[in-house]
Amino acid sequence: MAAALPARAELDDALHAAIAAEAPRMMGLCTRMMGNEHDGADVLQEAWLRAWRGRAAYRGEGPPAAWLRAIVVRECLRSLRWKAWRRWVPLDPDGVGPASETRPEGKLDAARIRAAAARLPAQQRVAFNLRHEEGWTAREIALALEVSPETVKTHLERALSRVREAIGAPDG
Amino acid sequence: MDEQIDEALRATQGSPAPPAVPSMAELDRRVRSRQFRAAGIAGLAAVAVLALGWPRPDRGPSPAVRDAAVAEALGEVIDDLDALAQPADDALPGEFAVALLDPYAHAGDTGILSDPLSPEGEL
Repeated sequence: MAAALPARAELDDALHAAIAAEAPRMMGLCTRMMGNEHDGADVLQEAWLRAWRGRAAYRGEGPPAAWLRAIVVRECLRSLRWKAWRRWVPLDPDGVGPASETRPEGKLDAARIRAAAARLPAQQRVAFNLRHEEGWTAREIALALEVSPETVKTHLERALSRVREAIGAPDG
Repeated sequence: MDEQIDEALRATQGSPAPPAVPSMAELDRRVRSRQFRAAGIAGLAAVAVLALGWPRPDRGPSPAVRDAAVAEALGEVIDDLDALAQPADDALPGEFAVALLDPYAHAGDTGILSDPLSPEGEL
């Protein structure tokens, strides 16, 4: 016999606790995804509202943090698409890390990589950031974006190719 | 190359402070406020369509039938907004509701009060 699912009030408590516990990490993710802190905070708060409004869909089958992360990622994607449509995507992200002058000799320039990533189409940008900034696997990205892992791999290959070209790095 | 990119990015990540996490009650209030606005906008759109006789005003219903339909649709909008409004929600967008109803509501004319969210409202 299947175990009984938690009551709604317990789920709400768990979800709210996850919102609070994940806030610092999700703020970092949103900031890196959107290119600046201000937009990152806006998207994060919008994602919180979206999660709370749709919390009936969360029935406790998995950890609330995972459910929440997927909503945050999809909110980032939605916002990037909206901004791209309005041509507001910043070409030079700010507030996502130290200036490129601090880069050690022989290392790739993070600021140039981020600037190149900021010019990618929205879905490629999200996949690239989740893989290379956040360290997610292709399967985790696929689950969050509700696409197949193969689609994610295609996005990642295209994104990497464009970023390499933009920063003048060799393929592979 | 992948590893070099990962290394370069992760070594330079900042730690921005997140905004304050709203309480559950505050999240409830914000969600309800959004629903209120969405219901208002959708309702106003429906009323506007009826009032303008779109898409064929020349073949639409007679003015009397149209006015009755507009009044009924407007009543439904007010009911929706009224159902969403809570007495404790001081911050609900009352101004929005006033603006929403303004083209149609003239106190003393239609009997609709100017602020549907006021405690004295008799909608």
